[in-house]
Amino acid sequence: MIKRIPYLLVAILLITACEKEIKIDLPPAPQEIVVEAYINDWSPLMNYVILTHTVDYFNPDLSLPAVSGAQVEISEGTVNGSDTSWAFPVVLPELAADTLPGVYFNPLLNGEAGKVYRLEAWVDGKYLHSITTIPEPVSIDSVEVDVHLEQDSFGYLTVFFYDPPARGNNYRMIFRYQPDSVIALWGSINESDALRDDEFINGETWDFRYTRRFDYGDTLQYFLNSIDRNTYLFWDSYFDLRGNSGNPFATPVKLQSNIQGGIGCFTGYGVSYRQIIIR
Amino acid sequence: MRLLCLFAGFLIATYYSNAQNHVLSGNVRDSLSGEVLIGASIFPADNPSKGTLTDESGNYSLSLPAGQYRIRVTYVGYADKEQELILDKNTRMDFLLSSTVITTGEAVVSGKAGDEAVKKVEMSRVQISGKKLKSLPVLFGETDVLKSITLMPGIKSGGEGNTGIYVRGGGPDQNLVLIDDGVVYNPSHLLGFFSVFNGDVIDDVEVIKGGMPAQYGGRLSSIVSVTTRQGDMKKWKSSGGIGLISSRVLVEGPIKKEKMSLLISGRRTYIDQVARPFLPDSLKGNRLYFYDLNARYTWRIDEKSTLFFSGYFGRDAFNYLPPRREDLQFGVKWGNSVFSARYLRQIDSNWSMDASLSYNDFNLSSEVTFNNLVIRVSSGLRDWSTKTNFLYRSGKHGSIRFGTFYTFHTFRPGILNAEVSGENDVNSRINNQFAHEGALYVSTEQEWRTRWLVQAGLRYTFFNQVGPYERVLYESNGVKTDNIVRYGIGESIAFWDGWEPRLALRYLLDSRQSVKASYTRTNQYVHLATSSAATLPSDLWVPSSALVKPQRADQAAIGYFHNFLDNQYEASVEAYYKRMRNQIEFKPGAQLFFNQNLEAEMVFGQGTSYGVEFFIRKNEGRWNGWIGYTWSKSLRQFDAINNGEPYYYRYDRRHDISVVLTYGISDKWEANFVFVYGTGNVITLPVGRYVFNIGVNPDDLDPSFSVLDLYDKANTYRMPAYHRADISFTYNPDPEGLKRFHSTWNFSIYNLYNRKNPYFIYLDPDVKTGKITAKMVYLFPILPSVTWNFNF
Repeated sequence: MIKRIPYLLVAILLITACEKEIKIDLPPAPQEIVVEAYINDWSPLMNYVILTHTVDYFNPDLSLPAVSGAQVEISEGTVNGSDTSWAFPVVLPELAADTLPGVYFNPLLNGEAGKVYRLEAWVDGKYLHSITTIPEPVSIDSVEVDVHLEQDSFGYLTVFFYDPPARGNNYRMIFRYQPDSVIALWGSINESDALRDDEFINGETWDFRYTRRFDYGDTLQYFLNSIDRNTYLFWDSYFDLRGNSGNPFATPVKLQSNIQGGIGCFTGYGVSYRQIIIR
Repeated sequence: MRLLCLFAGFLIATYYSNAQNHVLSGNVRDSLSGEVLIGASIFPADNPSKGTLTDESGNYSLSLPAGQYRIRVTYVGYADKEQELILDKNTRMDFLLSSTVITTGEAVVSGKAGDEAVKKVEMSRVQISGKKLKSLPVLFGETDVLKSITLMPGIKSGGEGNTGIYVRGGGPDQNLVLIDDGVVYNPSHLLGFFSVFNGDVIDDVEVIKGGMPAQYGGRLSSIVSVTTRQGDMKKWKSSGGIGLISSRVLVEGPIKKEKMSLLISGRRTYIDQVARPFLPDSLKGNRLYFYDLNARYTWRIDEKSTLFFSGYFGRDAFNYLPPRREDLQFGVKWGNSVFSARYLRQIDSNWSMDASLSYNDFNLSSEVTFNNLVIRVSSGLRDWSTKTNFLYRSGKHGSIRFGTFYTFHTFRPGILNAEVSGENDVNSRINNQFAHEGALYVSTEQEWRTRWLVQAGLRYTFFNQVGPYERVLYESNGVKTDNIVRYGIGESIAFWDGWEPRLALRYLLDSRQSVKASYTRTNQYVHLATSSAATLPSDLWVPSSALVKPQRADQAAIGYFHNFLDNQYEASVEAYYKRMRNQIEFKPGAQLFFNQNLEAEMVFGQGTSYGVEFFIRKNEGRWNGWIGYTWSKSLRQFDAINNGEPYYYRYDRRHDISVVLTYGISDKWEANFVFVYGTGNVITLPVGRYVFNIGVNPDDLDPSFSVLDLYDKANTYRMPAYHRADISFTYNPDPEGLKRFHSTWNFSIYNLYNRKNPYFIYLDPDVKTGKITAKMVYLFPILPSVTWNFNF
């Protein structure tokens, strides 16, 4: 609310404003490859790479602009001091080029906490690469559910965990409410999806509370994913960009991409997971 | 060092040249009100080129060889006066001028007549009098200093809804805005739609946009100095006005005749009340208004010394009551308080001095009430400043000026306080910051062989951020560390200083033409933190610190000045080149509010701007006014923006035209016409789109994702040009001023041909079809207004 004061003020003044449609000629932008890739230590089914490309701004077609036919590999690295030794790369084939183009997946690829991962992709003569880490997961201490179904069917889910004493922990916290639970891609519609670092609560107990309408038999899922700093900075800029879109007073945000040769992010998750069924 | 020696030699030369001359000095005042007249010409009738002008306290000083003279004094709107005298010793002579009653249908323009533009060494200066300001057509009939000075070449407006002024390619925080020597940090009301200065109290506005003499400093681009009127010294008077959105009232008069006077003026808007019938129900609960008060007390202690006290207090208030939500309230208030005391003294015929003490405070506070929870947030800054200036006039047109300046700054970035039912629950604050800022200067003006006039000066400035302060250390990637550096009271945290050489030259080609050149270096130690395109009261001023270096600018300008037809017309061409270092921008998407680590959000770069300004002004006659044209370019280069390549500044403006014309239709009617044209601002628009955070919607198993904008080069899209014409008519039913109660009407039409000027552009995607349309928002269509002014 407080953050939005200036915009609110402007909005009030704009009651007198009028608008008209104008035509804008934007120069065609060079097409870039967009990488959305994940590696985690929890489920090999959620390690995947999606390749898409950018489209012209006024192109109304919003169907996924998939990039097919790429060669995609991920290799695991072990850090020893300043040296990293790389294992033989795992190839991720395209899942189904005709029905689900652009999704590259290999169920044999396993992630492990404390390791680094290198993503490489060759597409149309371009070479893209990126490195990410799976940090050690931070365990969820406890989860409390408080439901008042008899009164107003509102309920609370409260998650407690201890932030480790060392500084530099970064989290992405995902809360899902799925009556027909389908664990799908990481970007599947989430009830809450937030980024935190330990700037203000280092070494302390955290409790995060989520409120919504619950019903008996509902399934709630909670992920406390530890991420490295570059991944944090990328997702932070992603939320800024998403929040700024359409705000004419905001300055344009450039994503803090961690992909060389393209844009996007290779995200490594050290996962702590809870599933709760309301009874 | 060689420079210093040269400089010292120059000063000594000024002292000892032409010892056989005598000094004629005194002041020039209005015969009725006793107000001092600034910029009146005083010269020997048979040799006008030996003349001078009165300074800001109405004083003049002329150095002439011994002999017999007929001294003439002229001032626009006043009858000329002549006086014979034999100058055989230093002599003091005061003049009282009578205001002319205008019966000839000739409109009065209070501008500078005479050959000042050609003869003075100063260049890159513009001045508008309070009278002229009040006759110009303006939005809602509300006289606006900051809007009106943008009608001058080299000074640009950011557009409607933006009182930010952009001088020779510089930013809006690079202008030092002063009211009677007190600094105004946020000179706008109603979020930039109006400036804080009440037209009724303004005597004179001067803008120095280049060739800054050494007594001025503190900002890179300009000094905007607003001088308020003195109260009438002879009798009590009231005046005021009723306009479309505001009313004003002013009372002035002598506390003690010829000795002390008081002027008090107030203004209050009722735009929210006027607009209420037109608002939808959901917005009827809102209140938005501002008021301001000005006061000035003048005490003429004796013939040679005067004391002024001047005060400004203004507040904007905004209350938001959402419909059907009695539990929720939101209010925000902000404004400036500026007080100054100033003492002027003519010590003897050679020496004069002035000293001032000023205080200014800007405060923004907001309060959100939700049931029994109250959250209060406030931020602001406060300065205490003193200034002293000494002037020694000697020899033939030689003078030395020196002085000091000091400010103690307190920056309050933010205090947050939350209460539940009277119990203080949360108290959080970003640490206040404190700093000393000071300057010493010396400057001299020396004429050489009549044709040459040189003004050379040197200013030393410093800035010292001091404790108490706790600095939290962050790693380069933004991770907070446990290391906190604590500084005790007065302990130095960061120290910056700089030498600022100033040089101005004039060469007279003949009595009507001159060539001038100037070089100015300026340092600026306080910076405005703003991430949005509009200037808002929530913008924060931040000090230079260990990480934030002072801004620095070097500007060179050259100009040709020509007056013709007996000084009826003055014309000039000036070219400038300005280089600005340590410019500050914020990282895209930076969070400025309540950020303890604000410095990590800043990026640093440099700016360059250059341009040519053409100006022609007719000062007197039935037709008068001016035409200005500027061609300019303004660029920025930041390593962290646009891949380090230079890009156009948002307010880069290739062409800028302003036309201001006044025509005296009859003795009762006067018409004013304004036309402005400016190349559109440049903005960054997305060049493409892409999808991210891809998933599946669990309800229907359709794909889900966010659509993001892709940006490429910075500021490549040029908005449509801004242009507009306004007209106003002033009707004075009693031009001879015979009645005791006197009133005038001002009818004005803003945006005569209903131009839709861009305020901003946004891109509006249709969620269903995915089609994007670009929309341009514009603010003010054709707007007539009427103001009734009275005095008795």
